[in-house]
Amino acid sequence: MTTPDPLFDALTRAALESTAGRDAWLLAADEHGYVHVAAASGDEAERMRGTRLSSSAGVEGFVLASGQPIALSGSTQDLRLREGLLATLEQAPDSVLCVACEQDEGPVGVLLVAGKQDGSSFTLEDIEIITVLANVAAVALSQRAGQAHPPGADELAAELTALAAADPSRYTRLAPFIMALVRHG
Amino acid sequence: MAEIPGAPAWARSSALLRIKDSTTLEDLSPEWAWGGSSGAGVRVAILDSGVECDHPALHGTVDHDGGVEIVVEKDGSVREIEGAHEDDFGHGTACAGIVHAIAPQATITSVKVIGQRSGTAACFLRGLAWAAQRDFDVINVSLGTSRRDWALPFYEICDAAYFRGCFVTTAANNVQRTSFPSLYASVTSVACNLSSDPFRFHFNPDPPTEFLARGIDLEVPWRDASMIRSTGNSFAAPHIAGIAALILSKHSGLRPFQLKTVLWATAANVLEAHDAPARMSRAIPLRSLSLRGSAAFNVHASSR
Repeated sequence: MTTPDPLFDALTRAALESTAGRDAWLLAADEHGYVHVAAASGDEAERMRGTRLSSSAGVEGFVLASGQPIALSGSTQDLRLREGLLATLEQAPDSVLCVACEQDEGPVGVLLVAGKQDGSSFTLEDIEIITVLANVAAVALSQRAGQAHPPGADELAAELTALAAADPSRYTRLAPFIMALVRHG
Repeated sequence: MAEIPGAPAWARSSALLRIKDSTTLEDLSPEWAWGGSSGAGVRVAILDSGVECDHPALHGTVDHDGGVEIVVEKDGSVREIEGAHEDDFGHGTACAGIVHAIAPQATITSVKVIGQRSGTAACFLRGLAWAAQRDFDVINVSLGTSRRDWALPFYEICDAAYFRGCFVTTAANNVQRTSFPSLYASVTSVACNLSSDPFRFHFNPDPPTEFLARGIDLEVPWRDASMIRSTGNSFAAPHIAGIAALILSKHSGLRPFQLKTVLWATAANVLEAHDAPARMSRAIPLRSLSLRGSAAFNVHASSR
């Protein structure tokens, strides 16, 4: 289970409230072909926190690959709206909205909203609002990705040894900072 | 003055470059542009998630065996697999369906670049190059990548397609966001307007998005031989692709810049500005971010 992130939670809540959706998720993409639920809002969405699944499945897979935002609506019987993450929902959605969180180096995740509360379809306005939120999420996801995988002590020691051998002056400058960071957590 | 074989254009007499007769801007109207056209003889490539060839809404106009799937190998290289393939999602079938509904006799070919085995920027690029090399008249790319490291290769391929005479339509983003290849002048970028009429499109005087077309709450063909309701700029681009196919069917040989000019001249807001300048002063404030920014309703009357 991942630790809840206040910013991510705020973004999914904002996605729900601004579109009158039933459930919303922020999915973070990794470099190994998976997405995982970084934040979720809504009754059904909450229990999917930390879920990890293939990044090529469902509407989120298409949006990640194509970069194109999309809104789909059908009926709750429509299996095409129950693929990827949405396949795990108990209550099938009749509408879906998905937008990519993109950075210059490519998509880093998607913001996904399911089920308009009034049973209508997501609109162009909804797409635009979610795109703005997705842009904020993209920056936050990129920053968290940098923080989420700090090198381990062994890895750091190996890197520093290599640096000391290859570039002693740079090592001399960097080492005190790293020592201070390690000491102060 | 005799023409010197192989001489560059600048070395020839300008008389040799003279065109016998030419259309003038005054000629350009929807009737002139596509009246009576069905898209016959025009080849349209759909770069997308594949196309469900036997979908009932496509009436057998998809070149089943002529398509290609671009896949990523385990070592990261990309490979072309020519021949029939499925639509893994439904989006490509939707784009094909929109083109077909507008230009029913145009031949549609699927260039699958998104699916279980594809979906990278390298696949998009290879697919676009594949279609350009085969001189498709119209190439619809309702996809994009934000990866700046791919900007230059896309730029080069789009320019190559332009000079070969391929008309490339791309989906633009509704809000300001980087997406290649929609930012290039050699392609035609399209976003949604509010129309429910597939032939009512607008010229956007504030590029890189150049045209606005239908893309909101459409019933489109989707995977599994059925339909679905959808909204997105993805669906605005194939409307312009379909209209371009109609124009090219009736006026073969138009270069991409000429086609853009015909589209400009036949855009709803340009026609309305020409016919009734006073109407344009009644601009309606719109809630949509993209349409507010586009100034689509502020085209001033001008001679065509």
